[in-house]
Amino acid sequence: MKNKRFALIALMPLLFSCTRVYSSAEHAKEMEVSGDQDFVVLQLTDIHWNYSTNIKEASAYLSNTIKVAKERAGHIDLLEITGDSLLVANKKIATTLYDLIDSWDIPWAFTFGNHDYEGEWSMAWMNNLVSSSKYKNAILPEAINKDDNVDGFSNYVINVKRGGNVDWQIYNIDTHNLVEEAGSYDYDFIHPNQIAWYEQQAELAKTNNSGSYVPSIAFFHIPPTDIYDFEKENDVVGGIKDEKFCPGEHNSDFVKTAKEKGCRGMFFGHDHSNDIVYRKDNMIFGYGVKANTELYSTEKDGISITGCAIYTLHKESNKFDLEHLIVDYDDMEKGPSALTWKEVNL
Amino acid sequence: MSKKSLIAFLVEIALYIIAGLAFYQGFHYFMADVDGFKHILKVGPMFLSCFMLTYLLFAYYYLIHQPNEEKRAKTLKVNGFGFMIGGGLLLVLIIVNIILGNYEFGYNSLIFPVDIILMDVLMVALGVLITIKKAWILEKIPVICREYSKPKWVTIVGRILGFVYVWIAEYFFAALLNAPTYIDFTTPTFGHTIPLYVMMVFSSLVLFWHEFYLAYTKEKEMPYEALVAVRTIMLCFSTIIGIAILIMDFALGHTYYISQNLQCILPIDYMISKNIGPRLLALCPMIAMWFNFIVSITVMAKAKERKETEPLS
Repeated sequence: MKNKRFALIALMPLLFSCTRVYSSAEHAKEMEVSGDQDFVVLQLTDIHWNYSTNIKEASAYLSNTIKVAKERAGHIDLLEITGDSLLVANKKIATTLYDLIDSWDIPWAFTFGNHDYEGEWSMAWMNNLVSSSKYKNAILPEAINKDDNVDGFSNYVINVKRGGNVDWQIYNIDTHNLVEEAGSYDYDFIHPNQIAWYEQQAELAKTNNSGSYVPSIAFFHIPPTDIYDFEKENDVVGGIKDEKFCPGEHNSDFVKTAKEKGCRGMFFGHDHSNDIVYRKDNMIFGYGVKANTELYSTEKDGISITGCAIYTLHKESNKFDLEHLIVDYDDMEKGPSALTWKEVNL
Repeated sequence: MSKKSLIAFLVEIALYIIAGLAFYQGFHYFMADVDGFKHILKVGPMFLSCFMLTYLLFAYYYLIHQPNEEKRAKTLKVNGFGFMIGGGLLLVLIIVNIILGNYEFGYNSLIFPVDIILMDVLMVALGVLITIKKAWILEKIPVICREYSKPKWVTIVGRILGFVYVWIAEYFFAALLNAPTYIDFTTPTFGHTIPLYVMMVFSSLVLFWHEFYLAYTKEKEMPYEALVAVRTIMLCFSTIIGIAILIMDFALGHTYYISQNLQCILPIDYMISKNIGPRLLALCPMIAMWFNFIVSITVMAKAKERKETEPLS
């Protein structure tokens, strides 16, 4: 089985080496920032609504988190939903969740997680839902339903422009679902053709930026195996590790490639009881904060480690601030709990 | 086949389909909370109400296949109480959940929680009917049973296998009926799933055939040789199809054919990271057929030699 796996990995670059030019317009979106304000991104991850969810209560918690984050950060320019928004559920529950997200009147982007196709719907239905024109605040790629030779559906870049120039790039990468191999399922990873697409987007931005890479951050759902390298370095920015890492099965070159091309941070979800963030070689790398207690979550000192992560991208700089806003699920009216932490100028 | 036997057979099939659809829904409710059962007060009555219809199916099965009058009356009485107590308790729990605001109308199904309330009301009503009209029911519902003598252990093993098989077959049959909600002909791996859809039908057809055969032979008194011949044909058929599915799954199954197409009907597979659903589908009819066949050519052959053709309890 191991040999088979190695063969698969060895074959992958070959399979995807037939380079193609990816249509930029299909995978890129632009957001214009005016004035002197920094660009604020809020990450929600692993919402996991399902048949057992009390929709009223869960909606109130999410809306309260957004309210608290807005008060905290001053404003939110972009909401990033990094996968596993749903679990075993039906179309009504899925639609209710995305209706709620859109009702917050904040531009939102998303990546799919491994559980997003587990409900009673097809991939096409889910893709049509999230790219529906009824969602006025959704920033979604035209490529979502196209056979574009970039694996996955939620691969796109948001170019944050200031005065006509791209100030930051925000990448959304689809880490897919599971790979079946000899009767077992393994978590998937970022495929070579996605890395090729990423490189092309980064190079394109560089060309338009006087030959310098534009600073970027990337959001996706399943952590890459590089998480172990970051852990070894032991330079923790913040957060806790309360469960073993569950990265994709195969190593991919995404982290190495992205680092070379100006990527400053990579943030994901997937492991609910981890919100740890590491630093290594100028790269910030770690988990967001689970958005609620559905499925499973962890707590510390009687406070649930749930809430959101806030990234403040500094204007005309490659620095950013990172805050994990922890709002206790059972006492949300209190606002940010004592476990909230923030690091600036990363 | 008499009109009574035909009606009993058709009622059983209808009940199988309805119970399957409820079981499918109940299983999804169960899986939504399986990680720790944090919402068991809310979700418990939801899935148990759905599973009650499968209990009704099994109770009906044992009623029509129980030749011993005394045991038949006892089966009916016990299950009547079971329906009343089970349905009643679940109704109380549902009311508690409604009062606590745990059940929000229309989310889990179009008319939720009215659908689960109706299921439990039906069970209580059936229980009451059985209690007050037991004799009438026993007279109206025919006995469909004609088997060669079998030792007790064969009956027990057969029943356990039967339970497991029915749960799997009814789940996947209902999954097939629910296919319009999740089927996607446009995925690149859709073609790989076709044998599994075939198997979803086949595993239930085997059960339908078994029940039809029992209802039909009630009057026909099928000779032992014919019985073995029929079971041999079914054995070969299920083995060929089962092996074909296994080969397809192991050798030809695309890396993504499940995750792109069938994730919503295989929640256990995803929970334990093992691909067991397709294998269960392939193996269940094979195991059931092999069991029936071996019993036919060994135990039942001996019984025939002893000319013990009277039905066993």
